[in-house]
Amino acid sequence: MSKKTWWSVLGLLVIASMVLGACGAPEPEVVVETVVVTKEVQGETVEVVVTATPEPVVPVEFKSADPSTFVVAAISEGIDTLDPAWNYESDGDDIILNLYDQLVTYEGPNASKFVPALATDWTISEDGMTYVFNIREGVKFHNGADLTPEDVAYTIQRGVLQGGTWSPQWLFTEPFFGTGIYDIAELVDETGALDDDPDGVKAADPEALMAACERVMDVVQYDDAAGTVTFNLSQSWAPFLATLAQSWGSILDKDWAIEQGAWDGDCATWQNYYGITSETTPLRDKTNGTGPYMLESWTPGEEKVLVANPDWWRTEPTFEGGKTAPTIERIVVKGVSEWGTRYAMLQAGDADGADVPRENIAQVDPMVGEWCEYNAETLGFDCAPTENPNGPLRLFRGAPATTRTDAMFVFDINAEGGNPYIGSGELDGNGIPTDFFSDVHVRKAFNYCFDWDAFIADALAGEAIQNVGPLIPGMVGYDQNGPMYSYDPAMCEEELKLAWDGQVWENGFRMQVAYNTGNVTRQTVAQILQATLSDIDPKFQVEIIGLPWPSFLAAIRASRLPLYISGWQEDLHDPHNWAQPFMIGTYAARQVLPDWMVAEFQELVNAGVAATTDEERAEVYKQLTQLDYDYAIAIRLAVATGRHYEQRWVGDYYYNAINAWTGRYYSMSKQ
Amino acid sequence: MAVGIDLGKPTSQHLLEVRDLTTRFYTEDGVVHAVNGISYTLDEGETLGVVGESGCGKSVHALSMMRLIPIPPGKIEKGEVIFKGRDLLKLSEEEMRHIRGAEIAMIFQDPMTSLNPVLTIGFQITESLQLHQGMDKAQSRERALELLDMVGIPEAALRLDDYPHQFSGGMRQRAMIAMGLSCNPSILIADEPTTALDVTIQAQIVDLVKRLQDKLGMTVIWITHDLGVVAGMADRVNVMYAGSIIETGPVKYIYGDPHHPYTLGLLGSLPNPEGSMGVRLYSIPGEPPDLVGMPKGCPFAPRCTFKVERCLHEMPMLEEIEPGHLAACWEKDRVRRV
Amino acid sequence: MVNYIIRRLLMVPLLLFGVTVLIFLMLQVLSPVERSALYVRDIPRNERVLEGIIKRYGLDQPVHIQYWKWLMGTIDPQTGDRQGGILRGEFGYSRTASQPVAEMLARRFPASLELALLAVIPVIAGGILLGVVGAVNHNKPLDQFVRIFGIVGWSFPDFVFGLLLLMLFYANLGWFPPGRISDWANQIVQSPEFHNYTQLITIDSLLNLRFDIFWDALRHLIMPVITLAYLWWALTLRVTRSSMLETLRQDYITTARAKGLSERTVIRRHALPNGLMPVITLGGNTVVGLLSGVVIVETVYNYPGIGSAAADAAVNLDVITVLAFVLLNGFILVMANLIVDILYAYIDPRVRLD
Repeated sequence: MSKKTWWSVLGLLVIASMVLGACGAPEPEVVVETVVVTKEVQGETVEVVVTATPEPVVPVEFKSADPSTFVVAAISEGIDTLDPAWNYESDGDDIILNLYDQLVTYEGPNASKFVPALATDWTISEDGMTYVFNIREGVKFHNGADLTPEDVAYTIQRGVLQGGTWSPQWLFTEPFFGTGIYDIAELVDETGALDDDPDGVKAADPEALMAACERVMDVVQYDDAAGTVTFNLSQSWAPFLATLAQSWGSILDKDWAIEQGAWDGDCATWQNYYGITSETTPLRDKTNGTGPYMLESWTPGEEKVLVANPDWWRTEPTFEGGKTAPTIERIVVKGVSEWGTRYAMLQAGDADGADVPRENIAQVDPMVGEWCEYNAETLGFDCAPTENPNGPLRLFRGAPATTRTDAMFVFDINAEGGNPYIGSGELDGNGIPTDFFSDVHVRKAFNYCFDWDAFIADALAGEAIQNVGPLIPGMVGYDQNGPMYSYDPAMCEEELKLAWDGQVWENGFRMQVAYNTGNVTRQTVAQILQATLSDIDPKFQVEIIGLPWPSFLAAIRASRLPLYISGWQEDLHDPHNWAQPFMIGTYAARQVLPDWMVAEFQELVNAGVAATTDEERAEVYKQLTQLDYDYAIAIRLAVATGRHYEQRWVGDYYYNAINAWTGRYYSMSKQ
Repeated sequence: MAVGIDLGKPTSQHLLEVRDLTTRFYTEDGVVHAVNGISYTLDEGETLGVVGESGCGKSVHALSMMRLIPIPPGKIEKGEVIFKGRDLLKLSEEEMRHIRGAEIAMIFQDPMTSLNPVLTIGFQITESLQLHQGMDKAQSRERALELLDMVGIPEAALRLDDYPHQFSGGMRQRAMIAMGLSCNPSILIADEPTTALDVTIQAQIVDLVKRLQDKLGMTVIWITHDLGVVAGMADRVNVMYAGSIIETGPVKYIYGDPHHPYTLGLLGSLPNPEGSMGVRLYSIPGEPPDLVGMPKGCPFAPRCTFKVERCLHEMPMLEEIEPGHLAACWEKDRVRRV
Repeated sequence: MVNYIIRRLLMVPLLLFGVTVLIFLMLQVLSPVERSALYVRDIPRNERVLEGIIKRYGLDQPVHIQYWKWLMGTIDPQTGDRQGGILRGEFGYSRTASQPVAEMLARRFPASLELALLAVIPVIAGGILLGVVGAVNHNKPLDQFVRIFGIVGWSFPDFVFGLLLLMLFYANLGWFPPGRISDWANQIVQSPEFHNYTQLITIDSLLNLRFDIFWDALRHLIMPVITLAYLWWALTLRVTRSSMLETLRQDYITTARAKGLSERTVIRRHALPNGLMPVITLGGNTVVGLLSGVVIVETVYNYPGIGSAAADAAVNLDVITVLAFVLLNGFILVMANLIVDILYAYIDPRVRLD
């Protein structure tokens, strides 16, 4: 063919392929039989059309092309670091929890019960301040070294001494040294001036430095001969086991760590390793754990590849029906930022699991052949075929997630140098004063004016339940039947009339609510408030403004936003991890809660963490929840229930709130 | 429109015979009647001058003969161009390519734009030689050298590998001529070859062509708007206006005794070195006609001082004034040089 | 000509200095807190975190000090050693890529290079061919088809086209997967037995005599190349076509025809060398464009090139990474322009470089 004809043909081919591509995948056929049945309804014979359930279909065997490799198409491969002492992201958790082991771990799907891992058993003293763990023998690290109690002690000590306020170490420093101590540097300088200041710490008084280190050594002690590790806490700490079970409790091999350039274990030198950043820590991209998988490679931005550890020590499953060794040889977690591409990978069968954003579930659901709903009693799922029983995917639905977003009021807004979010700054209908939210009636009004149903429907695709109080479902102290607000315009109006001695009702107000562009949840909350308040009366104006992330961050840092919508992903599945930040910690500080209020909360929070029995704790948190309701310091939104999609040739998935949706890979199987 | 003119010799004995050649251009603005049924003959060794203003169709008729008119929008409506007994208009493209450059060569007005700037002069000459004469590289190079020498380019050996922009205007035109002559064509059509050159160089080029013509026995069609040039070298002249030949004849008759008002006007426009100082140059009033939508009748009528009623309605045919000298004008007898 | 080249090369550091200074200055418009946003994914849990970040990365220092540090590195107070600094060859750590910038470039640039080199051929060759076809058949149906073909390609949003191809050829047919190579091939490429001479998988696999890997790499490249080609053809096509139309109108083309040369020869020997000259510049720009990274194609096909990495860095204000890209791009741009100039001088005898 001449060149001209070639090009014409090519052109036609391209156009043809465009047209064909638009047709997409063939729709699965759904056969619905209708049957007419006569029924007795209230004494009368009525003919009722019943849609017959299709005959149970013999399940099609689902086989993958390569059962030895499990591929996950994740939204991003963007973890910062693999250093367990530093990592504070759930993506990083995902990997670290598969590469390393901790002293204790969860009983399968139960995020509140602990079973032995690297510790074979443990004792807790009566006063709850001393924990002694017996360390398992015969455990080997991936590099062949043996696990010793010294390794355990070193790991925890090193983490605490490395510090860093944006690492998870505060979860250790609080139980070790007392509530309010967030970083080891505060042992050297109480004011916190040395936090995150490695140069400052290095230059500090050597005696103070030595003393700080020695305190750490006192708290974390080991005995190789006896095979034990002992923790001497500063107070009874209910969440301690939960803390140890998480990724920052992952145990390192001391010799290996030192070889890589980590702290050498000597109290004279710890200050040289303080405050190393996530990028400069020598363990950033190297791992050597005892876990069921080993790191084969990590290509940042592209993928991580794990391979099974044939010498993993586990002989007893963590729960009935659990596994003791990995069956899938390789795990590949790929970063695929484009949804269309992830979807294509699911269709092609190249991805065994994929991140499906909420807005795309309608696209994926037609491919689901098996639908599994969460059962809160069994902590498992009840599965049934869908209308498309040969669909290649399986969906797990309904398990509560461990994040919640709230709309928090700022009691004292910073107006220094001007603040565009509060309008005129006066209660003249054109703005709000800086202490607008310090009046409880205002806060209650906003609560009554929030439409939870709309929020759950819009932002969470209807898959969520309204939250009661600062804790989340599934933990001690949470009561779904506790006190909560609901959308009630009449009550909202009443509260508005009471606010600021009637000035609010008389003059109205105007304020701006900001969200960071791209964050749909925050945007939806703002939109709901805008709509409901202006429904009461147009003089209640809430303006919505989308800010680029850096501006949003700066506004929050400077406490300029009158109301900010923020979320929390729990670190550990324990009420303290919710109560602390929201009532007395980070968020409380950001909200500029009045001291007297914080003091009230503090009492209860401290009691809750120190209490030694579940009943005691439940009572404390019940009181706390009541206070949270009475003072209405925030609008508690909802906890979403999640969805997890996988190919049907994958098996043995179970959900543990802490491990979120990827689970422990060793427990999964693939045909 | 004039019909085929017999100048005395039987058809087959003319080197070239053009009959009723008509070329039109179909454009968005209308149909341009560029060449309107012209006829003439050309014998071996003759030099024919074709003169007229820009747009009169002189270049287009030559390009039509060579079948170099872009089709579309152009179209050779009708006519015959008999060259050595064959009608060029009926040849296949392949056969025509054998004629072009080899039997009939054409050189153009502006050698700067008519020569390919990115190819050497040597290449552009040897190209034809290799194509038409089957020479190999070495042979064609040798011949090219000879040609450059022949046209009077000094140090030809060095200049063979030079590019057109490295030559002066006159030298470029000489090179162009060398290119045209390279395959010993029977006819050389020179389309305004000296127009872009200054006067002294013009004379040189004209001279060169005459010498070469004598030496090689070439037949030349020299197209120009410059009467002075034609006077010096043509045997016969075709005067064209608005796509038609309005007067034709031996040069001395055309110059000495023109019988068409246009020719008269042209000659009157010539500065006469023998004329007295202070005499104003005569220039023909008016504009040449728009070749789209030509009126009936004589195309020159609007500008003609001799026009009568008939001129506005009837197109005059070429009619004999004396043997070999014809003019297309109803009033040709009245038209006299003063 | 050598002088010319030397002078042009000397311009490179000046150019790069100017651009990097400009970027630094632009960033100073943001407050230190805003610039610290790069290091924080979401609202920090602790109030002091941002202060720490600002202190750690020196975000509140005067701009010329920051620039100097970037250029020359910092001196460790304890050891007295100088660390970092572009002029010492240290490109710094990329926050958005979670690895040192140099590592990231070393991995991603060859990927982009491979894609660009492979895509350039159809883009330019195809575009030229189509453009010539269009010009030569001016206003005839073939010309119209060529023009429409080009316009459709140009107007078609690249991600839509890319996703369509993905759906058809990958999701439905499974022929051409996204990514750069398959897992099994990747394992081999990363292993010590495989010698990476050029970091271009297609070439290296041939050099290692692994034809299966070669074919695998090619399979992954086909769709991105087709997507890029279809979209970029149009530009080359248009320029070639109009340039050729212009050239074909020239007198020397008539002369060439008058010499009796076949139309084919006229076009090939007389028209093309003149007509393609603007395409040289375009070719240079195309290569630069393809090398700077074609973000959307990379994203849709999950191809790990520098485009998506650069976009990520820019969106997150990752200065260090952005500056590294600027340096890289600036260098590529100057080199590409230099090569274009040299090519021009080579083809057009009227152009003399001095």
